[in-house]
Amino acid sequence: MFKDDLHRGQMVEQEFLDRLLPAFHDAYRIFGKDSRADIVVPELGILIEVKYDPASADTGNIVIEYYHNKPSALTVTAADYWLISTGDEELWVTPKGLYELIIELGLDPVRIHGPGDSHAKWVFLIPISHIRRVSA
Amino acid sequence: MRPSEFRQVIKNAAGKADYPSCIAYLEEKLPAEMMELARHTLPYYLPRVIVDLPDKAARRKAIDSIPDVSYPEHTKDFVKLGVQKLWKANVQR
Repeated sequence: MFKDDLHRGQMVEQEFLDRLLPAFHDAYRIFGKDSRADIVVPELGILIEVKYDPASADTGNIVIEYYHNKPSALTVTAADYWLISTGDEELWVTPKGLYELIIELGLDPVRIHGPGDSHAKWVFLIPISHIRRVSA
Repeated sequence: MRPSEFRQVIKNAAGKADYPSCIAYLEEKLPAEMMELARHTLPYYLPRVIVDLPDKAARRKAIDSIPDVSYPEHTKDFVKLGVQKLWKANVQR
């Protein structure tokens, strides 16, 4: 199931890129484990992070990682926008918006160990209703 | 260390408000291998502590205690952003 989600996540990135290409011909995906964004849109000068979180449909929370054996995800993102795909909907947020939301809600970080992870990671669980509130 | 214990250490550190004191507390309480995680978690707790300080001078002093150049990068910017967000939310209530 982990590999299915990983594969599906990569498909979501590609599907999104395919939607961009008719208008933004130079857009492309960035590959690599330590990349700080997933998609570049040179015509707009922006970087996009694509997050696929299908479990949020059951949990009601979006998992926002910030530390996974080293600073990661929200801590290191270079993306201007995050596209969060739950499988049912797509939400656009900025990293600044996510940080402000975490502070506003007074969320405590939690440690989780996802399938396929060799190390535990530290994340914030943000209720999807709040992400909807701040999304574009 | 259990996550709940780690979070309590971070909260206690943040409660000091003065950034060098926060870091010194973390270094006293945590093993060295947890310091990087601690430094990256502290900015999520500091804003609320700073907003609750009794006056503007105290809040300004706490923010200014964060070095302009620090690790993690942009700690001061993040904390200022968080303080501004909480301040606006308080004003709107």
